[in-house]
Amino acid sequence: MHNRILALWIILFACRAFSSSPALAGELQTYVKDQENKGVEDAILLVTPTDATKSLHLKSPKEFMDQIDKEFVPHVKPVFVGSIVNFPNKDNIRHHVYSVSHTKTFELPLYSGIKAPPVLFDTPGVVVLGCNIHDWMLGYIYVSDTPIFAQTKQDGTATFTDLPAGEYLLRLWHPGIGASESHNSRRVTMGESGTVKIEWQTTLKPVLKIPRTLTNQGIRYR
Amino acid sequence: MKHKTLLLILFLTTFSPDFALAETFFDVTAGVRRDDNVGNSSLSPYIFSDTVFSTAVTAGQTLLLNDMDDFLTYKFQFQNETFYQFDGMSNYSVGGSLAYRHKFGLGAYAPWISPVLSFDRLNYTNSVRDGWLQQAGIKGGKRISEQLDLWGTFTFENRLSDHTASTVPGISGAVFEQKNMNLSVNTEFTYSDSMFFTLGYAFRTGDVVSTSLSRSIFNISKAVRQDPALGNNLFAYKLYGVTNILSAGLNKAINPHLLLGISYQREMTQADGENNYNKNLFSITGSYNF
Repeated sequence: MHNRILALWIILFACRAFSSSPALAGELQTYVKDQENKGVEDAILLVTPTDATKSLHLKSPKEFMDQIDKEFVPHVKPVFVGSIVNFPNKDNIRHHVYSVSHTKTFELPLYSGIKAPPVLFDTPGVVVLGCNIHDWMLGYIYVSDTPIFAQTKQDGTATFTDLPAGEYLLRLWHPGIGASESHNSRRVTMGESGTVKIEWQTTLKPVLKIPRTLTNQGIRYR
Repeated sequence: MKHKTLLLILFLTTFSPDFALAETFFDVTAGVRRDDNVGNSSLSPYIFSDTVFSTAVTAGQTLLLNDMDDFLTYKFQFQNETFYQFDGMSNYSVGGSLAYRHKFGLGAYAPWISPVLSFDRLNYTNSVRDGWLQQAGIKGGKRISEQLDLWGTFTFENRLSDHTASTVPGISGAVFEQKNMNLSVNTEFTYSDSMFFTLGYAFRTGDVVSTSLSRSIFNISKAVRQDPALGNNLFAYKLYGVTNILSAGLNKAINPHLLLGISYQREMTQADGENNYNKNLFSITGSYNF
């Protein structure tokens, strides 16, 4: 008899425990603008619960960074730490993708199609990508230490949905900021429902790219 | 020799297992240029200016010779120049070049070196300048930063003329047979991801050709020939000269394939017999890379 009561109590407790907090979630709408009040595209926003016990531990997905028309597509790619990234070459020529960044140094010697082995990104930080054949090719992989991140669209907006109530640290990174995320992190408190709007102005340096042109022509006497 | 080089290129490109993966390029360039001293004259009555319309088509392939460092580029080029006023100077050229390039390391900042061979057939409306142009040179450079690229060239140039017979008694007629050496240093400064400036300096030593009426420099000329392309009573003189060239340009990429540019070039030549002349060139060009 005692065993039956104990089993019933365990089942009731488990049902209550598993049906609680996820329903209480809000939406975080962000707008990132630069020093000229223009919306910033390709900014990465990182959300971390301030209570470390609430941190999520998700399985890192397979990610892709394409090469199309001799450019990295997308130009900026956020991935969760531990992700495996494939580098499919969709051009009909070969590329030689490399990075000499401290976060991840690697090299995929000349390949075409999907022959290159995937690369594991196991350290958080910025990875700058290049192609040894096409000097102008420039791409970024941002390896996030939190699974909650978003990338701003062309208008500078990004939205997080279903954020459980609580306090979070919000961080920002963009290629115009440099190697590390902005020091101006912010605390955001999410209620049990509703929307929180954040407008974030940041100062960006111009992101210079090596020109994709007919260079090294030199001078011709006439 | 030229035929052997061509055969070698054709063999390499046809039978290379990586032929299908070689990188093919095809560029079209059009431009207009204002030249304030077409005949390189030092005497004011014969300093003619003209506007020149040009087009060029370049096609070729870059072969990646190994996994990293070595590239072989061959290309063929057709170029046309139409002089608005001096129709006899209008010309077209057909030619090709072969360049090997070695990078000393990985990435855009690795220094590189590139020996280059080229040849062109030159055909003018007035045939006095017809001939062949052969060039052998070496280029080298290094990108210092995302903003600054530096490179230099050393080129030996040999021009062969179809017309070498003497037309003035006692003086060679091989005016357009010329040999010279060029040394240049160039910089490219990126202002934004679509705009960059170029600055260059070149030092040229060797044969120069100046066209004017004066017969006073007959005795110091290496060769003399009538120059009907610029005037029936004018003569072209071949002299030894040293030229300093300064150039500056501004380029704007409209998209990844289309580049527009304006440039200015000043040439200052000191030739034998104090036959010193200057030339200013203003150009506007548009290049499309397919």
